[in-house]
Amino acid sequence: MDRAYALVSGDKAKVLTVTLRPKGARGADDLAALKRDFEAELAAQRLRWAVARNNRTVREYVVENALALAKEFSERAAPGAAAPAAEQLTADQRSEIERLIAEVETEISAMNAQAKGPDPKASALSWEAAQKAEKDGSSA
Amino acid sequence: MGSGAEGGKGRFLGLSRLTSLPSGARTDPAGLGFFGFRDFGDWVLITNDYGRWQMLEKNDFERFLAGGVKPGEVLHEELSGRGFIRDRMDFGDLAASYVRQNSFRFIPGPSLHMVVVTLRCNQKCRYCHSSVVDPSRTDTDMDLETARKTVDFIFATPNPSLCIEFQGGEPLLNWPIVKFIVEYAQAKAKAQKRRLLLALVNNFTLMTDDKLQFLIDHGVSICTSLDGPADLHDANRPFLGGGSAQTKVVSWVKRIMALAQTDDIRKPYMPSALMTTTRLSLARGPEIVDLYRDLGMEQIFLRPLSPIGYAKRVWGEIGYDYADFLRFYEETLDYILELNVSGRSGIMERNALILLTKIVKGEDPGFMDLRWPAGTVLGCLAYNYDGRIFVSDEGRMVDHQGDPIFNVGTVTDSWQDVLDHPTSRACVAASNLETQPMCAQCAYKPWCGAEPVFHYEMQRSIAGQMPTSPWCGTHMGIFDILLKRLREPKTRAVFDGWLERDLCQWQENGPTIPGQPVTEAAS
Ligand code: SF4
Repeated sequence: MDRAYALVSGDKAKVLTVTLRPKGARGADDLAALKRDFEAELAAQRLRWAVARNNRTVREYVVENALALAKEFSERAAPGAAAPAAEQLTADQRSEIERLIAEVETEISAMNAQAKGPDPKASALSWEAAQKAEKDGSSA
Repeated sequence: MGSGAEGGKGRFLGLSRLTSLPSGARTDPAGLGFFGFRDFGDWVLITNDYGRWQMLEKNDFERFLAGGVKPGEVLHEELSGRGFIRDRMDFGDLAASYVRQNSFRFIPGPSLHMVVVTLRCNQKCRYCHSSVVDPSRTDTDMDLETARKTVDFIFATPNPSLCIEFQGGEPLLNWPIVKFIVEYAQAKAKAQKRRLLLALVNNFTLMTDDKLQFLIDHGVSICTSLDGPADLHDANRPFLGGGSAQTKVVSWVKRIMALAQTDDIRKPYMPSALMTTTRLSLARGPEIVDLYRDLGMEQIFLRPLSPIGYAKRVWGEIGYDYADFLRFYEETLDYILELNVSGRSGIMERNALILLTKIVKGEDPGFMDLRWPAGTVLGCLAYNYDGRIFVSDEGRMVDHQGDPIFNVGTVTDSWQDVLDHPTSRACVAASNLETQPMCAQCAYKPWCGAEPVFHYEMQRSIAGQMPTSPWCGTHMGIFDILLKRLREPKTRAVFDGWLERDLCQWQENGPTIPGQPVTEAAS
């Protein structure tokens, strides 16, 4: 990990030579440790590569199965869930939303109309004072 | 080269954070199923794509590598049943396991929608205060029109189950818009027959009885920040209104907990708290846990600080090396486990729960920060007060520091436009762990995740470079710590108890709102 500069030379189809130049290490012991680590890593990579190559089709097959299974499952559980249901607000819902919008508009304009505005004021007050102010406001 | 996993004990000095093969090990890969491994010294963990795993004694691992585990042995049966023997695989079973483990990959569209209703805040948190603005800056409040379009956009995304999370700034500073979004979204959910969850993240300094009543009546779950005892919390999160912010948080948490205890309908909405670990927290794990215990909280979430947005600028003052966090995590988790083992408390740690849900239950806990492809866009979106959409809340914070790279559209765009945005596509492509050389081989790949925004901030690459990534170091360390404790019968029993008790009610797939439509798919 960030321990050496590596130079790879040679012919990929025949023999490759890896030259490592340590970044911080100095003595012969450090160099020997770096060589050992590199060889251990190479052995692990050789195994991982072989296992990955041998299992490529198996892994693809299982994921294909998983995709089919998931599709079947989600269609059984929520038919048509991939596309949201077309929104059909009832007349009641529509008028409820209109009422809601009117209410919030009133609240916001009341909030903005106050010279100081309730929010900056509240944030400058202590918590207890802000509570009291809110209570007085809501009961007014 | 230290071949064993080192957990939270320090840096890895090998060529990679991955462990190497036992020295001189004979290998015969022909009969082996695909696997990743991690050497813990006396034993080795092996895992595969399907989320199956096994802990092997070192000599059994060496026999496995050499093709020496033979049919008729119990170990052979176990390894075959888990998909580690190439010519003995139950494809249907492994595919089902893969789907269960990665269910998020098969559900269309984001489920978590974080709405920033204002940038104003009345706290000046040390890790965030430049991501917010002064309480007088009402120009950073979301207006009604934008709020309506935001909800319309959210309901145009295709996930059958939606969670809207209010964030800020301090969202209670723009209360009329919070109320509007709650009611409008609930009306739309009813009309579209979709499952809707609502959550409010607030600092409690502006909470009132009326607001609380509204939130309870509408089934909005409440989450706050609680960093620890008053001196620690207040040092991290100074309150502009004067006085101790921690006292206010504690007081409201107690009140809501008391309400929840006396009412079954309110029980699912017990407040939850997030704890952010700063440098000041590192020596105080047990004290922080004791505070959560005293408050009757069921869980504590030991979260590392991320060097994103403003926190990156002040990292020198409040940040730490990931090895320091791992030490803190390990010591604090051990304290929690000890409390559980001795019967003094049943408090659970949430990082552990998330990972154990993946590892032990083989299920997806619905946690955005630990999945691949990353949760960005495919799992979550963040909506700024001005209607701009970001790949995540962290992406929005990067924008606040002057870099709009993670902006993927606005609420007037279509969902398809946002999904097709080059940044959305890049985040997905860059967060496939199969294309990360180290992750592709890592034993933790089936349970790990990717974080494009973090790596952009830390390494100027959305893909990141895992061998030097603190994100990888942190997660690999947490996995190591948990796996070691999973092997100990005493701590394994505690973990099993947690998994039985925990309903896995994360914000993204939390409790259902009474009276709200629930699709079968989401239940
Ligand atoms: S990011 Fe996760 S999967 Fe990748 S190497 Fe690190 S711990 Fe392993």
